Amino acid sequence: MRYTQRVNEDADERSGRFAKLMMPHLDAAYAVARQLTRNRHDAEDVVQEAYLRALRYFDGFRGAGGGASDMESRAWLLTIVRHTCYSSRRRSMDRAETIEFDDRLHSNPLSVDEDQRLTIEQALAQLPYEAREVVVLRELEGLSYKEIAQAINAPIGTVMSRLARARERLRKLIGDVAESST
Amino acid sequence: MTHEHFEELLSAYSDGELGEVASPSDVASLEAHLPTCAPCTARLAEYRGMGDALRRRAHAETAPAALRQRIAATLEAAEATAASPWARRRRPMWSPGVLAAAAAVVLAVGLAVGGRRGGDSGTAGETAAQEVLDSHVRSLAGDQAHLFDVASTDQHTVKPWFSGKLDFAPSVVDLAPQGFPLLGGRVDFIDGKRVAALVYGRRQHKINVYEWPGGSESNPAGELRLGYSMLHWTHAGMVYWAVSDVNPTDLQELARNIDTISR
Repeated sequence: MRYTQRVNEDADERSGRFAKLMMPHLDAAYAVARQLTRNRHDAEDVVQEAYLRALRYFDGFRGAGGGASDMESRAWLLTIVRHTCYSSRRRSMDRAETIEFDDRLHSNPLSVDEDQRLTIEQALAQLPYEAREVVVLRELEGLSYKEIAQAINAPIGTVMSRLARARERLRKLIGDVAESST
Repeated sequence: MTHEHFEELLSAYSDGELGEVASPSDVASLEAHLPTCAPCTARLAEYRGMGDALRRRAHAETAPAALRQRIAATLEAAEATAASPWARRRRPMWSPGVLAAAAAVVLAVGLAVGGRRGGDSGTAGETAAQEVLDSHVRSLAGDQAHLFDVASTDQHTVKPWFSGKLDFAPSVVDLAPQGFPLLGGRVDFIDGKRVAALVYGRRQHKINVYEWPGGSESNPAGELRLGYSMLHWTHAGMVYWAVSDVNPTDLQELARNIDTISR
C-alpha cells in the first residue's frame, strides 16, 4: 500500500509539473495548429493529441525535472504540435490519395470577417503546407533561420528562399483580396 | 542580381537574418540601396506588416475553453492509467462514484487512442512496436532529440563503433546508391534489451532501423501507427523494425536492400 501511495504521489507530482510547464502554452499550440491544419476542428484534435504525446515523452524532456525556461517548454511543445499536424495530415492523405484532393477536402477556410487582419490568415491558408510551415515557424514560433533549418531538415538557403516566396505570394493574395472586396 | 534574389535578400533582411544567409557584399549593397529606393522600402514595410498582422490575428484567438477542459480530463485519465486508477489522492478510496467516473474516462480515452494505436494487446510484439515508435519519435522530437551516438555516413566507422556496446554485430550497410544514405547509429533500449538503432535518410525524412537477435524467419509486415509507417521482419536470426514518416513502400524497399546486401 505504501508503495502504491508513493507511485501515485509521483504520478500526481509528474502531471502537476507537466501541467505547470505545458498548459500556459495552450493558446500558442492552438494558434500554430490552426494555421497548419487550416480549420479549427482539426486544430483542436491535433492539440489534444499533441498534449497526450507530450505527456508520454515528458520524461525525455530535459526540463521535465525543473529548470526549463518558458521558451524551452514552449519550443518543445510546439515541435510536438507540428509533428502531430504532420502525421495527422499524412493520415488524411493516405485516405484521400493525393495532396491536391486532400487540400480541397480540408480547405474549409477560417471564417470570413470584415476585419482586415483576417485576410492574412485567409491568404496563408491558400499556400501549400511547406510554405505555411516556414511562415508559422518564423512569424508565430519566432525561430531563427538556423532553428527553422533544423526543424524542417533543410539547408538554411532553402529556408530563406521558401520564406521569401511565401511572403511574395501572401503579398499578392492580400492584394487580390483587398481588390476583390472593393 | 536577379529580381527574385533581391526579394530573398529583402525578406531575410526583414527578419534580421541577412548576415546568416548572404555574403557581406550583398548585405552592403542592400543597405546602400534601401535608403534610396522607395519601392524596396515599401516592400520591406509590407513584409514586416504581414508578420505583425499574423501574430496579432493568431494571438487574438485563444484556445476554446472546451478544448482546455478536454485536455485536462485526458491528462488526468492518462495519469490514472499510469498509476492505479482506484487510489486517487485526496479522495475517499473505493468510492463508487469516483471509480465509475475514472473507469468511464479511462474507457473513453482507451477508445479514442485505441483506434489509432490498434489497441494494446499486451503481447511482446505489441510492446516492441509501441516502444519502437516511442523511441523513433523521441529520437526526433524536441530539443532533447537524440538521433546519433555515432554520426557518420561511413559504414566502416559506424559498424566498429557498436563492437563492445552490443553482444551482436548489427547489419550496417551504406544504401546511398539505393536512395537510403546511412546517417549514423546509436544504442537504444527496446523491450528491456540493448538494441542497435541505425538511421537512414530518405529524401528529407529519417528512418530508424532497430535490430536485435531473435525470432524465426518472417516476411516484412507493415502497419501504420499514429501516422507513422512501421515495418517488422526477421531475417538470419535478427529481428528488424523500421519506422519513419515515409511511404510504407519505401520501408519495404529498404528492408529488401538490407536483407540482400547485409548477408
